[in-house]
Amino acid sequence: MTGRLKTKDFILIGIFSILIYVVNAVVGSVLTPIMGAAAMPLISGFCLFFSAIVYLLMAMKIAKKGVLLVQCVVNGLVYTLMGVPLMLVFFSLAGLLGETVLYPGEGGQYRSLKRQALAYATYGGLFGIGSSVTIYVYGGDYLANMFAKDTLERMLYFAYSPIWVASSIVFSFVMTLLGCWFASKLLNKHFIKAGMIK
Amino acid sequence: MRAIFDPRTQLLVVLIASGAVFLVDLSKLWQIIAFMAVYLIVQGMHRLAIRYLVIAAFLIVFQEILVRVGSSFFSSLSFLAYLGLRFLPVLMGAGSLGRVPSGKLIAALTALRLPRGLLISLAVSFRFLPIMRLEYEAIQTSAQLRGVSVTSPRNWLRPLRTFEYTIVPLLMRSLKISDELAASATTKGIDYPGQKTSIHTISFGLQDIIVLVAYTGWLVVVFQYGG
Repeated sequence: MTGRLKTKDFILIGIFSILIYVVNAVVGSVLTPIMGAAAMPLISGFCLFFSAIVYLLMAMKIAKKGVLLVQCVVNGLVYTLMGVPLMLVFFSLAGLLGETVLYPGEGGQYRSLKRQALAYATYGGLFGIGSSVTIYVYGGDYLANMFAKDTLERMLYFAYSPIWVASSIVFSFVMTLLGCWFASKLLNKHFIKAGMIK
Repeated sequence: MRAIFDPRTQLLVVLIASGAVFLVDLSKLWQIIAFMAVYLIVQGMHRLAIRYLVIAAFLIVFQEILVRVGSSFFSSLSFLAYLGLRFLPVLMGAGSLGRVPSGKLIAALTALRLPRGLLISLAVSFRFLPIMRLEYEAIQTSAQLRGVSVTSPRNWLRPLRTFEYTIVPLLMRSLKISDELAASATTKGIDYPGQKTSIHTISFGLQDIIVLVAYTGWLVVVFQYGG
């Protein structure tokens, strides 16, 4: 009963993907001055916490296969325009992984908040190490012009420290799940009662 | 007289800009910003160009001051200013892309042979950004009247609630807009399975060649001799 994505679904995904991007960007730039120096890899966890509601609403509204993947590709293309085409590949892989988590079942799982939350958290765990992966592939030199020297050193330190990378993945995963829990309360309070989603 | 470029050219300009800002030295960055300003003015977007130039001037001054002060909190702030300055040329290029009628954008993206569904998502998301800003401003106006606005520092102490008061109306509006957009697209026949034509002719013209040649030439000059 899942069916394929239709044109109106693609329109919804287009709008909500850019919302997710904006929420992530706003939360990220608010938090960077506060905790950028001490715990840069943990910032994306907070971003995901806040963008979870946007994803869950979109996923519940459409409830079909491929929502997460298209969302990832659109977000990846936005990053491509901003000069990091690598993120298109990386996000697509993360999205595919999320879709795989979501795949087992008879179609009802796309309407299940829990399963969608798990899928988004899987994607989120990988999303969190996006900046580290950029550093692995491009190397520090490519970014040397981009960032001030002390910032770059800090980024390199965070990217090559296994503890920070692992904790970033775990933290993003947990924060996304927490965000989904918070989001499901909001969805119940505002959207499900109003009959906007089933 | 104003030049109208092929959307594919505009995309290419954005892509080149995003590559260039990664590679260029900070001291030469203003030369790229200057070129992008001319690029916007040629297209008749004077106000947009001036607005970005003012932002650029502000960021450069801000950055200079922060570097002079130099404490660890300020260094994170200057990092943001730095990043903003870096992405300004990309934003300027995207600004002109955001003004392209969506039908034309879709026609151009079709010429790039993107999958149809992805193309629709992409075209919608490009066009949605300015709309989202308007919606956000409207929401904040009424939030201010009720004292739950993001802008008042008192509400920063309860971030979750403030977030809820902002995101829920925004999501409601987004759902509504997407429904209306889908209905309007369907009546215009977006689901028709056959070959589609467009009122906009998509072809590279003389102006596209000129701007791309000028752009690459300018970048070569900047990287070789500028600064």
